[in-house]
Amino acid sequence: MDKPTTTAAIVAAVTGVFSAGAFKFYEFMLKQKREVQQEEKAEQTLYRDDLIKRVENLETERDEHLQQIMDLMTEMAALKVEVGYMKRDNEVLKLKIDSMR
Amino acid sequence: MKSFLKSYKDILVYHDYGPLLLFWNIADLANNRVLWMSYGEALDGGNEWAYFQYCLYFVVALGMLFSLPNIRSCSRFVGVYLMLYIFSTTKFVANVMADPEFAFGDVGRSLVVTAVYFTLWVWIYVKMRVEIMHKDLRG
Repeated sequence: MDKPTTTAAIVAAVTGVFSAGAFKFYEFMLKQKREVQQEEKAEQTLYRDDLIKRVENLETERDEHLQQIMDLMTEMAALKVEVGYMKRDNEVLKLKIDSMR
Repeated sequence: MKSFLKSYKDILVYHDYGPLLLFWNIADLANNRVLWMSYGEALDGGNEWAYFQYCLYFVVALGMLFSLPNIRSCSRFVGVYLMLYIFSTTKFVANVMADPEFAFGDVGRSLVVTAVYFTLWVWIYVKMRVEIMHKDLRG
């Protein structure tokens, strides 16, 4: 290889190595920037996320309580019917006692 | 004036390189000396190394053309093309410095044109690499 060819090959190789390094560095910077942006975004949405979580919990609790109320109402209706029957039986018994006297 | 210059900056930053690369690539292939000159002619003129260099350019340009839809492969071909470009330009400059009689015609003009073309290829390459990086970061 003559001198100009050697010089050109060295210059091309050095440029290639340096540009590859520069791109790697730029990629690293870009990654860092993106991570910082994501952290900032996470901080900004922290309060909102907390509120969303609390609303979800409250809704779950409300559904559970509604179910409990429904169960209680059903039981109460059954008890009402039972008390009605007992009242009627009581009246019948009272009448029977009166007739026996 | 400021907004006028900014519009040029916006063109460089935001406009896509794809169509430019396609047309430039086709023009580059059509302009390659391998298509218009035989090896025998190059050998007679003592330019066999230049002929090999043009062959390399031709192969890389073909690779670029066929890998255009795949940005990763295409960027590799553009990178190799740039290396070849730096190699041939440096060799030319080194030859001119060693022997001023080497170049025929206006050397300054040739170098200015080469610098403009080189800027164009660097711009395309940087755009491609930045696009690949953003794609990688997005996952």
